[in-house]
Amino acid sequence: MQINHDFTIQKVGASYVAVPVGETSKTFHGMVRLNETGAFLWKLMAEKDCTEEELVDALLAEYDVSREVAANDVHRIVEQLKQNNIFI
Amino acid sequence: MNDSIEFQLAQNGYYVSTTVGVSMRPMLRNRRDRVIIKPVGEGRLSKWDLPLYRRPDGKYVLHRIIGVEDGYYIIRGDNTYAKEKVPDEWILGVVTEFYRGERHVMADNKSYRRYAAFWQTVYPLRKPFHMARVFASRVKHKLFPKKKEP
Repeated sequence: MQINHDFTIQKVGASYVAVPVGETSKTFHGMVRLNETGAFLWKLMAEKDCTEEELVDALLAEYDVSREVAANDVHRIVEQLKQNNIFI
Repeated sequence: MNDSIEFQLAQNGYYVSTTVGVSMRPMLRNRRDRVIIKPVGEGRLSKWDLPLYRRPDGKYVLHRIIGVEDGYYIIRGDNTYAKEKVPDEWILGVVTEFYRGERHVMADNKSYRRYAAFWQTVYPLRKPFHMARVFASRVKHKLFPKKKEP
């Protein structure tokens, strides 16, 4: 999965907020709000095409969590982004 | 689901979006730059602030305050040449920070405030150039009208 290049991410207070610019801004009206974990995964997927397994491995390398928790978090976030047509 | 700007401001305490149109050039470019808007809170806004307001026709506008009056503001876009009287009750929020490309700027940054003041101060010089461009464009279209497709 790779994030549509029209999306930009910025920190607002304690949250991260992604909004589109360019052509995508004509059809996507809203904000994607992310916590620290979501923003971490978002930035990986913005750089390159990632599988869920790669995202889980990256999460495990960065945070002290179990593989099961990491896999659940990754799957939940990926599904939410898919439902909102965030990916290329 | 209510996803209006007003609802998002009330629910999240902020609203983030790209800007649409050319009325705030050169500072904000159409569908390239982003603004972070927050509710106004106590007190009134100041000269050079950028409020987001909604006109009675429903249109959302983000332009600059050039005058503060009792109960309303005098507002004009950085790239527009007409003033607008905006009552307090139209105002939804104010830009507290923005991104011009990757460059992050806080609205209370002194250099930015100096730019905003300068840009509006030289309005008397900018307007004649703008009027000349509009006149030249009209003459050009009169002399060389666009051919309609058959």
